[in-house]
Amino acid sequence: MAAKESKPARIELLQGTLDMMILRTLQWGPQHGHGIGQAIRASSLDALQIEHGSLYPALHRLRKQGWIEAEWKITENKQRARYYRLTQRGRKQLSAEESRWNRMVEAIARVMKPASSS
Amino acid sequence: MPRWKQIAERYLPWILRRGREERELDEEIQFHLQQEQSLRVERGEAATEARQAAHRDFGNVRRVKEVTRETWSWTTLESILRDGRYALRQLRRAPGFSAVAIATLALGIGANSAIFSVVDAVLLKPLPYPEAERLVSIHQALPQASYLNVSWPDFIDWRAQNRVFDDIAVFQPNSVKVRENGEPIMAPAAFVSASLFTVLGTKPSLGRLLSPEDDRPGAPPVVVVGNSFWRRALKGDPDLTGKTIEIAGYDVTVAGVLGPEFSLPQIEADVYLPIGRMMAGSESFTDRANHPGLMGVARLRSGVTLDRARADMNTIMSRLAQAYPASNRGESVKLALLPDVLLGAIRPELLMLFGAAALVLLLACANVAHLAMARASTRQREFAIRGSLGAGRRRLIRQLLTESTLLSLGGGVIGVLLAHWSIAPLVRLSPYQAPGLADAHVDSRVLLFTLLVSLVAALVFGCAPIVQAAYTRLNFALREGEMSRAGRRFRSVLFIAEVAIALVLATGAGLLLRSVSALLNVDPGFHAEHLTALGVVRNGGPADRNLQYFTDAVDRVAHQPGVLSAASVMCPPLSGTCWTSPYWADSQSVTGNGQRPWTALNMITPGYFSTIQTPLIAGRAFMDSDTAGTRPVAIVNKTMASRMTPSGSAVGKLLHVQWAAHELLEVVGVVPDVKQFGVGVPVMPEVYVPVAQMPVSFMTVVVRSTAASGAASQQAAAAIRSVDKEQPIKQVTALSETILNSAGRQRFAALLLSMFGFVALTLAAVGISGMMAYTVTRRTRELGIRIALGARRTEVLALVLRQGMLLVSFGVLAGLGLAWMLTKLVRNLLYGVQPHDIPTFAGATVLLAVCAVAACILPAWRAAHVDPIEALRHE
Repeated sequence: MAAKESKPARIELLQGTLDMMILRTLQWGPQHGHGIGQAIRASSLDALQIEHGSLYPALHRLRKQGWIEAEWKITENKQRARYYRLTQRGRKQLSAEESRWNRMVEAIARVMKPASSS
Repeated sequence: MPRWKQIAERYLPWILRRGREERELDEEIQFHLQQEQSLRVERGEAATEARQAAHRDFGNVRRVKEVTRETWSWTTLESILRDGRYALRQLRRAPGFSAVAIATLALGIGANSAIFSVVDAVLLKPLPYPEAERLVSIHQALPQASYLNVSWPDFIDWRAQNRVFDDIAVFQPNSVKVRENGEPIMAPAAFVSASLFTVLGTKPSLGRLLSPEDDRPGAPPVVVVGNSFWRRALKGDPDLTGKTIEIAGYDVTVAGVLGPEFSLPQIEADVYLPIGRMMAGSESFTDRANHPGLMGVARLRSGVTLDRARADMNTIMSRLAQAYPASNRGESVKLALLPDVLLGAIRPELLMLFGAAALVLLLACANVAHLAMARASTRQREFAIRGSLGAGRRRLIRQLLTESTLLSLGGGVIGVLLAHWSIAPLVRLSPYQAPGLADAHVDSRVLLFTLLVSLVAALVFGCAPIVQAAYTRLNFALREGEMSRAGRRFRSVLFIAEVAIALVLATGAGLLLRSVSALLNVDPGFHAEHLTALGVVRNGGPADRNLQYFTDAVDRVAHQPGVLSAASVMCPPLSGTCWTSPYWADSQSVTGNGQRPWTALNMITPGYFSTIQTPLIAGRAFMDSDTAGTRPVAIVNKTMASRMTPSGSAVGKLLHVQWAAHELLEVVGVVPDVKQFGVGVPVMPEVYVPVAQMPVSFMTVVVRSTAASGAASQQAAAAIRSVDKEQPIKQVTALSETILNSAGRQRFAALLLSMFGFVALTLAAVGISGMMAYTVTRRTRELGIRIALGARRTEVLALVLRQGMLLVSFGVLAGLGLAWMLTKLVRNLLYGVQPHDIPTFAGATVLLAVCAVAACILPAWRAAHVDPIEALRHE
């Protein structure tokens, strides 16, 4: 009971935000699927509890869009893994989505906290 | 590059890539799970717990793969194949269901394919003339005679004066004596204007066609022969052109041979002779008031509409009426597009039969829908399991549709086979004489149609289990074998529709069967049994020799053993055509030609009425003493007698018949109306004159014999030949067959509708039976309790029957309403019965009710014999 309360409340993902977060994560360099999942979870301070399975349809979708590329590499533990890397088009897409996201957050913030703007 | 190689190069990488993607996705997910597991182990979790947690964290692997695959663009085809394989497995697991469904669909689809092949051959394939839509059929009319053939002088003027046609042509059905293997035969011939082949756009397969020079009086005689005659009688001689053949005793040069596809509109011919060369100077052609059996056809100039052509021709006709008032006053010209003339009568009938076939298919679909729904409700658990394993709702729907499509395609394949076997008998039975009907067969168009129909059928009945599922949550909420209330309601609606369709078809069949029987019961005015007609044409020779010939022929035939009597007549009963002429009774005032009524005009030998066994109403029959030298006499039919003298006897009255050999005739006898133009066609006034007083060169010998017609007609033909072996016999018909044939259209429609109605009743009965059986099974527990609580067997029986009958009566009501509207469509085919014939509606309803009760009896009996202990233990 107590353990549950101490955890931050989980947040359902908004449609399309997973794609944006994957692109954002890959900005730091190539990463495999599991690594991407870990990174998102860690940087959200465990608030976003995404089902890891849902990463893979998203990754394949992004690859088809041409925003990321995939390549099989050997990990530090000598295992074969598929690494994803941001393409030039992916970078453009990321900055477009970021600015869109920021505008949206600002707009929502204005609605939710009208007092602060006055 | 060979084709297979192209295909391989195009698709092989696709297939290989497909396999690699699949493997890589597996590996990727495997890696993910291992990675997560080892991470958790590092954190200190136990290995098995870590593995479970990794899986839980990841979610449903199968579903993830499925969704990921859907992002690969080429999965559509692949998943269709996979669905197909799975569906095939499912269907193989339920062989009874599959067999019944396929057989039912095959019946429905086969009926449609067979009818479509006939519809396609008759209505949809173009006529064998280039740009047939520009061809126009022409005939003339007077206020009293709606159909007159074309007058030769009028035709000449139309050709010269019109500004709307490329050209106009006339042709006249005829027959001439030719030799086939040395034997004289009468060949069907067409006397044609040289413009005919230009108008129809015909090309010869050998030699040339007719030129305007061939068509002038005095030109050297030439003939064009038809393809089948060329192959049959002339041994397909490739060097035929320029040679001569014997026609009507003369040597005639063959100009050319027509292609195998050519046929004249409405008539058949083996030889084509230039009409102007032979007839232009003859009296019947120079007389503008005469309409000597010429049929007109013209080709519209490109861009000219039928209305403009009509206007132009009307202008010409009013000019002619001014110039030649005696012959042309009040006369008009009628134009119609040739395709409409040739197909107009058939189109609504065939479309009606097509519609009936579609109803049968709809019924078949409804039955299969019942089956599929019953089956789907026993598969709830399978769907629930698949759903919980991650199959999306859309996938399950696609799965059901795939199964339906496979069933339907199976039905389609068998349906095509059924159609293939039934087309030949169908065409043989059909009364239609349409170009292209003889070579109706299953071709690529029929196959394509069948495919389309199968897919539509799959959609129609495939939706039923889906609609049902839509009302049913795909989970374990329902027990195996149960169906939701909405699903049951949907089934009831389907069921009512089935009963209604069956009733509509049964009613249609009933109306047509009554029409056939009415037609065959019409009093034709003569006694057809053992009566044979032999057509004889005598070519050339003086009139008195013709008379002598026919008198001798009748005499010899009458003395054959087995012959009761014989006579000859120009137009035998039911022959469909006869001479007609304006007439006026002596007492009536003489008005212009245009205003006079018309009568049929027929020539007979004295024994005619006693041979066809038509008793005289009044006066006397013709006698041998009525000869060319004595007073001109006539016998009139009852219709004519009552027109002449509405009260009192016509015998002894005088009658003017304009085109009889003697215009003024004394009526000596009255006979009942003899059907001249067909059993169902109203009788017109008819005047009979002794052939001795008006000799003709072609007559039909009618023979009344004691035995069946076959042997008797052989003897009679031999007897006629013994008079003059050079005289060919044109046609031998048993008049009882002619009567049967004159109801041909109704018989064809009645046969098909009866078959459809039978199939529909069977399907409906099977449907009722199946539905009731299902209801009883569903209510076994309830019925068991009722019986255990003391309900009597008869009460249970009545309970179940009542439920079935309630639905049947809804269906009957809907069906009666539908039939009330739809039977108007067959009005043109009906004879002696109204579209809203109450006895027929009542009969069809009773028939349906009997079938329905019979179908309910077995399930109801089972319900009444439910063992309460068994029923309660079952649950």
